[in-house]
Amino acid sequence: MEYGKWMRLDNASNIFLAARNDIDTKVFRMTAEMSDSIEPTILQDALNHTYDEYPLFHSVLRRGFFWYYLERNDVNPRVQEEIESPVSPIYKTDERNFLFRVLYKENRIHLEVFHALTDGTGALWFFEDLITDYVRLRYAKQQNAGGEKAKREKEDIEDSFNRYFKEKKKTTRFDRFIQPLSELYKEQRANGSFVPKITDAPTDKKVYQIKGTVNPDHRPRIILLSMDVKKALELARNEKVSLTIYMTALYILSVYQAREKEEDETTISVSIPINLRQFFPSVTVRNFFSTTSVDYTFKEGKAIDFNAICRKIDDQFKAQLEKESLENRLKRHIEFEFHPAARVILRPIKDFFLKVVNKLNNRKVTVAMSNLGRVHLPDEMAEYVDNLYFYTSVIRPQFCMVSYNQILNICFTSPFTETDIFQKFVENLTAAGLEVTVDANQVTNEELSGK
Amino acid sequence: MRTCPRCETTVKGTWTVCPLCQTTLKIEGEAEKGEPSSFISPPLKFNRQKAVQVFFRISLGLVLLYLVIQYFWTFEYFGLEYVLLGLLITWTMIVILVRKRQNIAKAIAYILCFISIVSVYFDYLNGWTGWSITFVIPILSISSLIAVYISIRVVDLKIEDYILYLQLVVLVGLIPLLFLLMDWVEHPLPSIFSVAFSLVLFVGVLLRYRTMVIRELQKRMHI
Repeated sequence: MEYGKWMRLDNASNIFLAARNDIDTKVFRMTAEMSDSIEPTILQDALNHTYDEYPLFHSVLRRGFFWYYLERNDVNPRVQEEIESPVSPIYKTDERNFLFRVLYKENRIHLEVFHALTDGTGALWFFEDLITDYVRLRYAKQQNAGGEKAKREKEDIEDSFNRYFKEKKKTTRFDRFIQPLSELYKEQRANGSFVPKITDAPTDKKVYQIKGTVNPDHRPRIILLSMDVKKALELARNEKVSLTIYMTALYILSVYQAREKEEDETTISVSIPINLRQFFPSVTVRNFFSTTSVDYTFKEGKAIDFNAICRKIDDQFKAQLEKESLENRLKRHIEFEFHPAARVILRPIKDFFLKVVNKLNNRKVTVAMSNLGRVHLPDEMAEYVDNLYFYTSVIRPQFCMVSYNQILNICFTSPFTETDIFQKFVENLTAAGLEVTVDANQVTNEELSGK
Repeated sequence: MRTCPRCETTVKGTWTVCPLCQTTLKIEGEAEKGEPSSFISPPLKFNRQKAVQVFFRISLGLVLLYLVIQYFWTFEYFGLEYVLLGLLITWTMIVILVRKRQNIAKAIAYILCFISIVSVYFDYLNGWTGWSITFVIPILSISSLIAVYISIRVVDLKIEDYILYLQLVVLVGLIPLLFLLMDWVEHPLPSIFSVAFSLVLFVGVLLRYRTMVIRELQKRMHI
């Protein structure tokens, strides 16, 4: 992409732009804790180098009459010292800002990314390359520091949503016009309901919504839990589920335990993003993910069976991961994006509609989680990188988990000051025999003044 | 090391109570230090609860003030609607200027459109004397064009960022042509000036930056 060149946003990005607000900035952050304090000039050199290899990261976001679009910028990004609270807004209307920033403080390097640019996987590639370059430059004198960087296989600006889910053979405009609507109609008929359902939520039940005191200056409450990954895996294995499912189930349980039961039935649902690259072969750096949601209904007075929660959500999760069901849903999303009527609606109106759809979707979600899995750095690198974790801005309490170097990092972020749910979560973990280290940020004046 | 006896966790940072359950932490060993936290603690930028309180207090105060004034003095010289409209314009202008501060050409274009509409409305309120279309819109268009011209010389702005807004201002400047053709104006001079000035600029910009204008339009109008 040369200077002044532009491209369309991918299918997932439009919703981030419509849904972002002061509290949920749609920014996520990755942090690497290094063994020594950071040398800003070397980090800048590393950034220059990595930046050259990622054309997508050269983009700025602009607004058109009908759509947002990405346009190539011609200046170089600068590393900055961290002075603001985490995940503060990156995209500001009318400013030609990069959609990411690289920050440093003491021994930590942060990468903050606006979600319309890329997803966790794309950002992690960039971040890994950045710290690899940094280690290589910083410890050049030591033998073999960082080693030679392996060339990463990636497609920088490919829109994989379009590659896999956009129908190419459709002949007439009329077909394209009618197709998504008629499919939606067929689906409604099959469900026996006549009112069109525009959200993707699998449950029709009323879903519990977490309420709380919004943090004074909208910075998120962040609770970072670190524990031994092997012991955590063992716990999950005892329940015969994956670590993702185990922690999700524990989270559901903690929400239920922490909050008052208002009704006979309490349905708690968790939204979980899925990396589509594992189902539809792609090495795109851009967004390529979808979300699923699992839920569990507690009945007042009935004993809680943790294993039953695990089983139930494991089944739901697996069913939603079926390639066909993923494909159908994404095809529909794409069909709506490219629907002739949708295309000619002015952007502010589109934004408004997406906001409404997003609000409706949110009513079917209690909490969210996101798992990046295991991050593996080459042995020569691991020596210089002590820990690595990530978290995101949120509209509801959410955790992000990633394991690195035998440490499992679970990072909760919440727009609310209250910590009762996380306290229950930790209590459940320690009760199961895990040793947990807690690190939290300060969000209220009382906490900041050290009361 | 700081530990929480209730949660059975190790706590990083300088907390004296557990950040999760508020139990007083047990401090052992090198008591003062503990493991440093990974989070920085910048002071609050603003305080949501306080801001809401202040906003409500001020609003309440204003309402009371208004009622008191209304009681003693019944606005003999001019109607309250002018005061309210004036306030509305002030706030709208502030919002436009703050939001569009990054692109001065855009801010001028928006303000031109806004003031034009408001002046027509005022004229209508006053029983339509036609001063808005005779004087305000043509003169405002000419001055906006001059303002855009000066500001893009002063402020470092890329051509592609202002060219479309320049053309937008030019198009507003061409509207008085309609007034002339329909014979709505008593004094045609301001309109003639506005139309002539805008036309020259419009053609000039098109001749010089044609490819740029087309490219910007393609980019911004893609469907």
